[in-house]
Amino acid sequence: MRISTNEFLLGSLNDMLGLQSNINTLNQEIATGQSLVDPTTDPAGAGLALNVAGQLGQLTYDSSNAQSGTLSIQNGLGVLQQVTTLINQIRQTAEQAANGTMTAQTRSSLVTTVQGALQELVQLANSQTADGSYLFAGSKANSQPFQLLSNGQVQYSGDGASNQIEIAPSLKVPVTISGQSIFMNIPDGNGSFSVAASGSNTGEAVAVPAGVTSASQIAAESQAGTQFEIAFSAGSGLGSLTYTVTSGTGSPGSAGFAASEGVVASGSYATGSDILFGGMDVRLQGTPAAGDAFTVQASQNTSLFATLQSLVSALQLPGQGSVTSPLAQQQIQNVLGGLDQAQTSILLAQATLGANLSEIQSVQGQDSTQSSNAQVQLSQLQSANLPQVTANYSESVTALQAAETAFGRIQNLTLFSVIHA
Amino acid sequence: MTGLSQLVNIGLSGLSAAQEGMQTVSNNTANVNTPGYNVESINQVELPGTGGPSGSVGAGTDVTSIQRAFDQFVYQEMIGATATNQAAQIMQTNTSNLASIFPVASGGAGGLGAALTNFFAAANQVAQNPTSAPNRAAFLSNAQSLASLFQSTGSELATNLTTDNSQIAGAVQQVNALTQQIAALNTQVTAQTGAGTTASNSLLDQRDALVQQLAQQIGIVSIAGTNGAVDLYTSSGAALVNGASSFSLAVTSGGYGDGTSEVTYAPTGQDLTNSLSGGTLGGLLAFRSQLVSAQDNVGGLAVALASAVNAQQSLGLDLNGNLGQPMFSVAGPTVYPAAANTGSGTLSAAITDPSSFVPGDFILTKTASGFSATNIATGQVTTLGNGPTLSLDGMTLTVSGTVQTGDSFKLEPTVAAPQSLTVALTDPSGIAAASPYVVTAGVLTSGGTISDRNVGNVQATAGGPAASGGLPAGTVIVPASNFDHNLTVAFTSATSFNVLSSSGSVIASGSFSASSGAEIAIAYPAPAPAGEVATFTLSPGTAVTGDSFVLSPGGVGSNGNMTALAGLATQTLLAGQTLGSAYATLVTTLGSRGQEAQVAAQASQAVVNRAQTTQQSISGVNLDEEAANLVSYQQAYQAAAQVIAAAQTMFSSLLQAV
Repeated sequence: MRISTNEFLLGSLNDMLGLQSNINTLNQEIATGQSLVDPTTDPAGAGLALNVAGQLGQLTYDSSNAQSGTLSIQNGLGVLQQVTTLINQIRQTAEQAANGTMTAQTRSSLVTTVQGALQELVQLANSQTADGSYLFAGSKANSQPFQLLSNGQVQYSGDGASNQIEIAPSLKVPVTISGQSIFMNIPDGNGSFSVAASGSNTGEAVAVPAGVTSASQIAAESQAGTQFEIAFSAGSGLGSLTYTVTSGTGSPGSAGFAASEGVVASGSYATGSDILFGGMDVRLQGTPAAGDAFTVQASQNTSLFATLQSLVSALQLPGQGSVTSPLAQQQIQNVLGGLDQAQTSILLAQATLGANLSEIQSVQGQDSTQSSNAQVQLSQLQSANLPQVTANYSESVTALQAAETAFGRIQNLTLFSVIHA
Repeated sequence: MTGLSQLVNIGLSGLSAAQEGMQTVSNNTANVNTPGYNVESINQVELPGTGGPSGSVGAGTDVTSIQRAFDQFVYQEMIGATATNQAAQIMQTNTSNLASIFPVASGGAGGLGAALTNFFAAANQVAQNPTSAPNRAAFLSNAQSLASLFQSTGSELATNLTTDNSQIAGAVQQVNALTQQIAALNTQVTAQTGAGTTASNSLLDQRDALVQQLAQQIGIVSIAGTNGAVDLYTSSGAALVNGASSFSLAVTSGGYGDGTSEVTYAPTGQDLTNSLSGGTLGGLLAFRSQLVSAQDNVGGLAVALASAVNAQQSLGLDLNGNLGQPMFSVAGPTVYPAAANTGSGTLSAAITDPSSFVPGDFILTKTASGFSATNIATGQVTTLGNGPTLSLDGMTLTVSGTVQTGDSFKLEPTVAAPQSLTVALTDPSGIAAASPYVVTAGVLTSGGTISDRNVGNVQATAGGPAASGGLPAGTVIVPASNFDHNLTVAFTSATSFNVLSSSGSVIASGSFSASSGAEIAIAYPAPAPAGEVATFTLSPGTAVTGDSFVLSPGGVGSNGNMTALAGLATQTLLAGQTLGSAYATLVTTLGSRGQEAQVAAQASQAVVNRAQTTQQSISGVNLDEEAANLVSYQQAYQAAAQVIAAAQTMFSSLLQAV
């Protein structure tokens, strides 16, 4: 075919320009290590890379959430551990007080100990995170949730909120726990029912909840607001006692109670035997006197602080010489029960937080696996295959050099240079 | 005598023919680099001799014409290929520039996708610790950089559009200048062309070169006219050159005055914008629709982000205990009435449901049976009815005034959105991280504390915000007027409860089932979206008269609304996609278009190269060929001169003999 001189030169030029642009692209890939420099190079890959990068970003902040959640839970668990230790110390004090023989001086020193423990407990309940948020305040994180009032009572001004945090797409776990459920909502007595002695008792007896014979019966009594009174009176024989258990709505002695009063159990009292009624088992330690009475009702919520305060007031009751009075003994027994319930409540909170913590940790493991998978996928999508690219690069360079040499030769090829007219 | 003078004459004719041949060769070599030059050669014929007794000898030679090597068919092919290739090259350059606005290297670092991820990561930091001022400030600054990136992307796209529009105007100007010149040359060619005569090669070369330049600007069809003239038409059939007359194109700002340049046919005023193809003009027009679609999509992202984040803000409480104010502000849809509208009615539009909104521009036309919407990009027509309120793809259109049949409007829902996205919230404490309400078991005491004396085992939990339409039957709804106050839910029996205001008056009451619990909802006041409620659930269980729960506004430590805001990252917010995947889809679409344009440009370049090779093989100058011709004419000249010299010798020999 006939070829025009211009075409001859232009054709070679175009080939060289094509090779140069090729080399430029390859050079860029080698320099940046990335094959995906522009969405046009691999549109589907570019979209996928963006999605994978987005997923990677999400896994990163989920893992940051998990770390923050772990920290928050560990803060909570740490404080709860200290609270447990404190409760154990108070328990020892209470057992010491229940021991019966002690001087007024010892008692007053125990009062100081318990009051100190109460303050320490308030301090623990008001624990703050590093940046000043209160751990157990619910959502009211900026104001101190527990205030110790001058009358020794503690008031909770937080709320029942608990914060959750996302640790995996659409998976949220609670990372805080409200102080209300830990410190304020503790059932008194043995958790099912409680016993209190009448202030006018003269006998030596102390009544304690010994067991539950029917939980459903107690629940029904709780809903109905039923209370019981165990009253002792002199029996027919010398020194014998009979007991009568009456039930009614409202507190014994009140008009409502009197109106609905009815005897549910009665009999002669044998020292050391249990009195059973309304699904409850009440045990008396020591001998009651005729005219003594005990009030029994389903458990109510009380606070750990109130339990401590009750221990203080029990210790402040006048003793009978070096012996603790039965009234104080009754109160201390109730405190011991209350401390057990508080321990249960703390354990429950620790278990809840611990379960959340282990969920976070297992999800964190999955997150990091997913994250490294995504990283691998992303790098496959966008990293240049360097051996391949380098090989292509040298091929293109060789081709360009050859084309340039060829061009140098052919540009001399003209008939005009050889004919001499 | 006759014989000898004949010999001289023949030699002379040989001399002048060789001279003309050499002139042609010199002209060819001189024009070796002239664009549009067609190689020329002489047409040489033998002059017939007069008859003699022994037969006739020719009377020498004559150059009848100098003709250019030109093939009409190849030339036509060349014009068509040039126009197609020019459009493809423009497309390729522009689409690849457009795609490079959206970075993909290193997982799209520096792009909108990465900025969205950072924004939501910062939201999670606030959720981790809602009282932390640095976290809140960092979240706002991330929102700021996200908005800036939207603005710069938007303005880059807008600049591209302005450039494209002005290039269209430039191309139209070129087309008009070229058609005028071609018509003028047509006039000269026609004047020189008559019976037996043709116009000069240089004139034809010049005109044909201009036609080819015109093909660079616009797709044309060329048809040979009378007397050597050439008639040119656009690919849709509008005459650009007809003999000695040229017809110009004009650029107008379009029928809707929205800044889009339209190309019209000056003689009739007809809009040719959608019927032009090929050449720079065709390429620019085709690219413009891709540019607008990219603008629409980026705008769609901006609108979906702003409306989702703002709605979530309005559902939570800020550090001051107020419902959150909008975090972003963004321009709404723009409606342009056609200049030709006869009615005075206007249309306004708002994107009311971004999740079912599909970015795209529409032409809304009033027909006898109501409004119809035509998607400009896809051509799909939707019938909308008469109004006054119309709904279209997640948008609500409001018609006011009288719109006459035949009136039309152009609707650009999100074109202006990317550039207009700004952060309206400046105070970090205005970030609404807290849940509107939290639940605490117990009753509110006069001291403001909550004491729990509940006996039953019913639990109350706060759910998320919901639309009132989707609430289960029997849900107790507390009117919005009570929002932001402490509320108490108190059981009045095992199966019924009241919702009490902070002053203790009964606002609402409902029934409770021990087996399925109960639902309570508090209606949000403005600025929350109408119909939004905060939900609460009373768990199944045993309720006891007097059991209570306090619903109090979420405190500063609550992160309920912030986890919901952070969770927007995985919500389908735009056309059934999450923001991140909608962005990835946009980038993939732009990338594919760029790749298609690359392939098309390579193919059309190959076609042009082949056409050019063919055309050059016929019409191009080959210097070696010219060198050989030169030698050949030189030798012919020398030989013819020898003939004259021989005749002279013969003549003088004869004289000496006499």
